[in-house]
Amino acid sequence: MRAALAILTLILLLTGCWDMKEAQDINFVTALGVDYVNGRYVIYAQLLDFAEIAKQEGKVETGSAKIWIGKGEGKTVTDAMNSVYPASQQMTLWTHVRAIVFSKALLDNRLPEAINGLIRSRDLRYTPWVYGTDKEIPIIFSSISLLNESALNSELLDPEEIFKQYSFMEPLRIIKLMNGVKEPATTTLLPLISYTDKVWKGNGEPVPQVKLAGAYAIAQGSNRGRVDPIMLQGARYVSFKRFDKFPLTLMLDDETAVALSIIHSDPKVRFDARGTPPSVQIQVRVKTYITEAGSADEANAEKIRMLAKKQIEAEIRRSFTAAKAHNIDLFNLEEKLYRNDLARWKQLHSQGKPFISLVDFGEVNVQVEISHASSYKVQNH
Amino acid sequence: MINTPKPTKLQAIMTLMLTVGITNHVFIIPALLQIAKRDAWVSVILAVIPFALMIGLILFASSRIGTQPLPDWIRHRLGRIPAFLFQCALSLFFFVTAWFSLFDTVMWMKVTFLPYTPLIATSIILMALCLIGALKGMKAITLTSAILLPLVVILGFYVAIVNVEHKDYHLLFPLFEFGWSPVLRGVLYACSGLFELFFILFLHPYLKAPLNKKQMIILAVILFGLTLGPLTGAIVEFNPFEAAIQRYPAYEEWRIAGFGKYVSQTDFFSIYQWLSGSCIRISFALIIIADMWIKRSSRKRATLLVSVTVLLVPLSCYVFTDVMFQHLMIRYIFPANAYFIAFMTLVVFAAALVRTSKKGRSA
Repeated sequence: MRAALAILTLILLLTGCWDMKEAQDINFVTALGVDYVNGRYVIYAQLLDFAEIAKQEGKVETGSAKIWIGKGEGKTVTDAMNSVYPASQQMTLWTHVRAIVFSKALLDNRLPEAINGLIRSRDLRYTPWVYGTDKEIPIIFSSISLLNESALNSELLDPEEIFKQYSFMEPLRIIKLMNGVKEPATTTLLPLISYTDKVWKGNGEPVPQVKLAGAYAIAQGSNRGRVDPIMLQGARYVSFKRFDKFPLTLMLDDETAVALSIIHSDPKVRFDARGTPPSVQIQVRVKTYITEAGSADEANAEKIRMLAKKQIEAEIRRSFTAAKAHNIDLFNLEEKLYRNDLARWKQLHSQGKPFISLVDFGEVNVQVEISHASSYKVQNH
Repeated sequence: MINTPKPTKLQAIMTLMLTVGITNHVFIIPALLQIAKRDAWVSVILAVIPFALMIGLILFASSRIGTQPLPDWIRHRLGRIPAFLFQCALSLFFFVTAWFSLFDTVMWMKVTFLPYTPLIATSIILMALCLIGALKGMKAITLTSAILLPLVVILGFYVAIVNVEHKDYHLLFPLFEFGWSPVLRGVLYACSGLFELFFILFLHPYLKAPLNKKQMIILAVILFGLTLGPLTGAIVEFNPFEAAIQRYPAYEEWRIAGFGKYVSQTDFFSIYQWLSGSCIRISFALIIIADMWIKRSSRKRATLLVSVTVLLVPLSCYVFTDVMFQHLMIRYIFPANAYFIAFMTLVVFAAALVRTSKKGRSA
């Protein structure tokens, strides 16, 4: 009796296999692009061949990667996603999307709506990397494969690896983009992705590859403008939460070129909000090491340190001024005020002007620490 | 189950951690965030004041009640009619508790993991499990809790720790952006979950002795932590405005948990946590309903349990939509829950006082 019952239970469990899914029966979208054209949402879905995802060993075909790009259009972002389904042959799954690219038109017009649609539909998670772009999204999606590397190892789908070697712009996940969309005083820097065919050639032909080209400043759901590499120079020391490694090139008096790698930056932003106008003092402690110091004896650590200090201070000041000219709160000062002195923030906020236009740049003080000089020695002074 | 020792106090605490924990840890979080947004965590901290009062009342009452079953005890102290009303009120209360826990659970499964499976299928299976638990009795439930809970706790720490990369504690400030009133309203919601500590009074009859002061305070601190954990987690991971519109913030925290490049999704673990909690909670509620009327396990008791179960399944599938449900919960049920438990505790407390004035020290 008991055995019969147990077997019956097991048989009943088989009903769970009615709608079993098999990995090969599903289109796994790896990247999603969202554009906004003439009042309608256009989405691009990037599919990779499974063979492209697995890193291949042994004999490998080189040449064009097998990347397919689907396009949908609709009144809303989910509407556009739905319009892809009829021609998709099998079920399309979005939960494994690793990167979302928003076009500039979308960022300028409909970012909060698009994100709300994507998250509410439960098709996407909060973890994909997000980018903005002013280029054609399909070209971005097809420019991500170098030689026989898996496309999943591209900068678009896995930006962390490049960031470790070259911390040009901090990668951002959609969960943190939310702060720029919904928090009342936060500016979030959204990496701007582009491509270049100047770097790599395959069999003599230029091969476009994606690269980061700057950022968009997203605040309260709207795009406040482009942050160019010059503005990023300063933002890197002050606004970045993480910083792995970035080069700094200096020219000594005798034209000896010195290259440093900056590996750490610890900013202290003091914001005197009660003053009129409110002003900001920035103190940064920067850790570096020397990667190149010419061959002349001219280069000594003390000289390099002083020069680096001057240059970084100038970069921070220049970035702030450039961003302020575009009303971009590059160093996220408004958030600091909002969190520490709500009353004053409300007061300044009620003036109705862009916050950053009210702020003056005070002092900037950079302390540079050269922790080592790599393989060769360098004189202390 | 003949001649086996009674559940230990540790098992009792573990049972309540699952039964009450799922409210504090999961059900109440979207309400708290919606009401008090960024200040929700302050609401929970302020809720310590009414909660401490509550613990005092419960401790006093339980010192007088000992391990006597509540309905009998009330009948002794207050008489037949108040006892009958007490039994009715609590049966209804635990019925609604079971109903709403069941609904929230099957709806959550529908929305997240099983969009193509009908509600009735998940509801029947879950209720069948809960019924078996209830028929086996409180002893079985406490033992099951002791087996289920450790992994639930480990998974909880797992999700808290792997999500550290998404946490930014600056987001806990500024406080009182919208004044004091959301914070104070939030206190009521925090209390709604915390006050369920009073369930311990219904578990005491199964123990050798009631929890002492120290054990009660440990349990209270655990419940408090259970509320604060996922709540601050949601605020610092998503930002309060995003978290406030989420339907299942505690589960969203699971959805972002992953590690490394190849293990990017581990949210299926949350099914284990959620089902452990709601299964024990529903079984617990069923047992208390039965306890109100029939003490010994008998055919009558089994009939009562089966009928309640049979009633709950269609109620959980066909009565409301989730949109109505969450409106109902946040607007009425959570506040009512807090008031009801506070009122009932006062009644029990009053009954405990009556004893001293009426009958002196005679046991």
